[in-house]
Amino acid sequence: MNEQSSAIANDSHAPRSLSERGSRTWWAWLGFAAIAIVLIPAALYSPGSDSALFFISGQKILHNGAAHYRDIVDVKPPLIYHMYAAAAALFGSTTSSFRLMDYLLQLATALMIGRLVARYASRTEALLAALIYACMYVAQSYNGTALTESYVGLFAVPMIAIQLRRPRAFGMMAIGMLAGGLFLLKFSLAASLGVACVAELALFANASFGRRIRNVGMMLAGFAIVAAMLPLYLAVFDAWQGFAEVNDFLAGYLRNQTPGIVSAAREALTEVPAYFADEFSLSMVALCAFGVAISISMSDTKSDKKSDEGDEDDAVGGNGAPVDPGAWRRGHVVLLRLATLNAAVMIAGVVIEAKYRAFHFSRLLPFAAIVAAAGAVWLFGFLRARRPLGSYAWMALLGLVPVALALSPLARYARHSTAAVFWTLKGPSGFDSMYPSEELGYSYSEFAAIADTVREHGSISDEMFVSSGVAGLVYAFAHKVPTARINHAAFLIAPYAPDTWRLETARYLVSQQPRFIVAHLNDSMKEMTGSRLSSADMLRTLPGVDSLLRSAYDTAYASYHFELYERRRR
Amino acid sequence: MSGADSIGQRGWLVIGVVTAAFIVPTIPLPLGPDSSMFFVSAQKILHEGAVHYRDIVDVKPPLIYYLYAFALLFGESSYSIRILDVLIQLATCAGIALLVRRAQGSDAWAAAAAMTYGALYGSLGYTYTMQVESYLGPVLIGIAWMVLVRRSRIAFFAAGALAGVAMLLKFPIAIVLGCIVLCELTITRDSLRRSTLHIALACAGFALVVALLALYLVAGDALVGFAQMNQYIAGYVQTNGRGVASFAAELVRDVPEKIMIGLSATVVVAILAAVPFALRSRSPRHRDDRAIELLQFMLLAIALLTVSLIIEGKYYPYQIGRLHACGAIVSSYAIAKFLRHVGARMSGMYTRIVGIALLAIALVFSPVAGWLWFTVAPVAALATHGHRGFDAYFTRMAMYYPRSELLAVGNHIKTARKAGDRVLALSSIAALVHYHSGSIPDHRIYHSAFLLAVFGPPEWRDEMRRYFVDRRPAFVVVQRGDWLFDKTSTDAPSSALIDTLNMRATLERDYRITLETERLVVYSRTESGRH
Repeated sequence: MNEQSSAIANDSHAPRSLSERGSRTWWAWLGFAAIAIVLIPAALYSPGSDSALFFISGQKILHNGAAHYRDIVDVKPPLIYHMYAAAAALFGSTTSSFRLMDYLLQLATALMIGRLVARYASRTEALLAALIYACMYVAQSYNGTALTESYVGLFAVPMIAIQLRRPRAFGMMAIGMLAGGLFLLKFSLAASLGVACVAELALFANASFGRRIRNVGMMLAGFAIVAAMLPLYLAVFDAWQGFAEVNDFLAGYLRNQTPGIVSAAREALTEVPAYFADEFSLSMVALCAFGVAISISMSDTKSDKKSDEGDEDDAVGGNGAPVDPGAWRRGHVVLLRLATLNAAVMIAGVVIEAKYRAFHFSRLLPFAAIVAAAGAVWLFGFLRARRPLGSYAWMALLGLVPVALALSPLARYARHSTAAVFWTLKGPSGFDSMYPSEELGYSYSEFAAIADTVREHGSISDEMFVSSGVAGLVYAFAHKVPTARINHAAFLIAPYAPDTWRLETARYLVSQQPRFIVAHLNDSMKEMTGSRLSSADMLRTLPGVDSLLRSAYDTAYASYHFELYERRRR
Repeated sequence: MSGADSIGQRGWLVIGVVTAAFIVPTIPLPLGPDSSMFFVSAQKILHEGAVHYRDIVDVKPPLIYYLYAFALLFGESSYSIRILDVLIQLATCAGIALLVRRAQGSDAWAAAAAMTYGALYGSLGYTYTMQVESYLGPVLIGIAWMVLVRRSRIAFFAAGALAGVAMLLKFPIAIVLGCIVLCELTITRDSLRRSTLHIALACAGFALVVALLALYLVAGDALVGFAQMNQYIAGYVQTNGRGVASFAAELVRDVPEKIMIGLSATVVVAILAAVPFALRSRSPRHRDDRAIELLQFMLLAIALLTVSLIIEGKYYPYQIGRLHACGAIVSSYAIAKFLRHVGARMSGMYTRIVGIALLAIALVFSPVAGWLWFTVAPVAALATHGHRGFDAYFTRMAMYYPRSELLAVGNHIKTARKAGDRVLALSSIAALVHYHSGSIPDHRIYHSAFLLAVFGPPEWRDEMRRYFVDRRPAFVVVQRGDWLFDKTSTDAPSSALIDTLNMRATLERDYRITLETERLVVYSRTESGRH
């Protein structure tokens, strides 16, 4: 069979009646509206600690012509900062700009997921996949959205779509280029390329081996082209030195994160299940388990033919209608397998990075949504095939459905969406009423008070320096773009950070004497830095800064978490 | 599930050995804080004829203390209770396998269930084994056997009585009586009249055990102690009571996470995967019905026991241990089914790669990891490096209290103690102090939480004040820096009791510090301090 003609069967080319097409269009618009509505809280979220850091970096790029690594010290590759700069250029220099960009990009991702699944499975499953993704994304909260991991689907979903269409050489190269995009978002996300290569060799056996090897070669070539943009960027913007410094820091950071294989293993054994039980939710775990089981147990060698292997319990399929497992189209099976492999590799990436905060896991959401939707459709079909249900089943469902809903991402979705509404309507006090400052280590009211003091005491041109793990938020609230390169105190606290960063910051403070200096009093970041020093403690250890603060600055504002110093009039 | 995949005698032998390998290594493990409390109380029962609630202050119902006392009849060391515990757990595993087979479940399911239970129990380590929840397994298996297999009138009465026994282990666990009731109403397909009769018989059996408890309290003159304990528990519940919002948040966030860690991710995922298979149609009886009824019964047990966990509001692994027997049976159903599926489809490369990878991941996140971590490794440390190695292992894991301090204190008291000398320990691990010093307390209260808690009956503190003044114990052991907030609602450590019980002046005058470790201080009475 010619490879092009062997492109995995889909139902989009079948002749349809006008009424059927009309119904599909109606469904598509309904689905689009539902997804767009579900995602609205993502557009209303307040800035988070990391997204605020990206925001002020984007501001530096946009307004000061800054280059990443040269003028901005942070561990992520350049793409995310330039995305934020682009958002500010398009939608204005406010924190709403990146939220709007995020909303549009997530909408696009959810629609791509829906389109991809609709091509190989039922419309119900497609809509479910897109809605699950949208709901789970919003459930990441203000602090876990608009981050590098949030845009995995934007690149990885088209990668899967292209690979399933079995294109010619350039298409394969496009898969590699999209993986390159992931690489420029976060280096470890490039693992998706590995999945694409392994899948090419293992899941598409109907193409000749030589052909598959050539396809893998094209993917690698595409990846190399985009990845080469990084050294080009470094060379053009003279950022090699900064890149080397960040790599030094990362090496120390990795040593700090994984003190030994035993403790790393213990942490993984505790943190991974904790994430899946809590943030990911038990309902999603169950649906994904069914989806993965389907991906394993369904035949991928028979297209639209009845299988004689399936047992009674499997005899249900798409659209909830009882069908034989063999009737699952091959494309659907391969899609599930690609999604499963990608999700597994993403989880492995988190374990290797040894960072278990919920947003690190958000990289697996697009794939989990596809797998869970398949599991959900199977489950509905399974139950429908058992009608009329017995009294036990009814009792169990009456008990299980509310529990399943409570233990689903819906609970988090509701909580964080409410917070978004509170923030929109009431501002910082609304936010603080939803997220206690004891848990966060800061409050938005404090940021607002700092911003008010800065506005009252100074002018727009006055410089400000913030020593904090959430410096981005302070800058964002005060509408200041930092001049200093280093805007996260962890880079100054960590004992393994390059000495030049501390010296450079001290030199900047002593020579420039910014009008305002903000210190976070109690934000020990031991998990990141291996040190118990708070940002305020660290600030005073910088050469010459303690005496500078004593001799030239007064406290203009103080709260439980922050102290704002204002330079005395010269 | 059919019994086609039968396991031969040799196979069962291997499964028996594997299951035993999960449980038997717990024998050399030392006593933990709770098991030492039961141990010391059992000594009081054996040597002083103590009656629970009257002479022993602790929150658990009486059964566990008598179980320990029975074990101590064969020798007063931790080995007696450890060996009895292993025998009970092995019997539970055998009971699980027999029950599954009797319910027409496959041999693979029966074997997987027995091994899963063994691994779950073995993963608890030294502090969390031999708890009251550890003995719910045989009770639940017995109830299921009576309700699903025997189904005679006597069987239902016995099932109710077994639910009563569960209540004697821990009051909230009496919820298993609900399994019998709901089983009769929704699982088995008897007429309403017969179901009603069965439920009535079960309730009668349960009532008999309740009556026996009442009789025990009256005959043992323990009603006042029982009332005091209820006062303490009521105060505890009020103090720890949560608002609706925090309760809901806990339900959504903490409960799944703690259960996932307590039962292991693999077991929880397998339980969830098994649920749909229990939801049968109202179709005529099928040859697999018995097996499905067992699955349904055990899912009911999981649901009700989870409710009992939520009522208690504490989620330590041993408390989650009440789900072990039912969780093992339910999860093994899905595990056996999944293995059969993957085994039948091993021809595809994807199935081979992902199937094997999934099995490896399932093993890593199974109770086997906990068993290696909390039982095998500490036993190996104990065997190769003695108590120091054991201590070093748990210190490295940043857990618990240093046993080396306890051993030092125990040896110190043992060496200096003369016949008739009393020991008073103001500590959250007071029972361990008594155990290691070879002393049996003649006072009622040997857990400082009961004295520190602001909601504890004031009579208890008065009683201990009088005890200290009147009996003038030869040794007073005080613990520093223990944090008991979850039991006392106060940040005060055990050492605060020196002032609460007005002991400071006497301690300074009539006692001197003879040993001081990081957390424990031993005050020895001077000659002038004697009455």
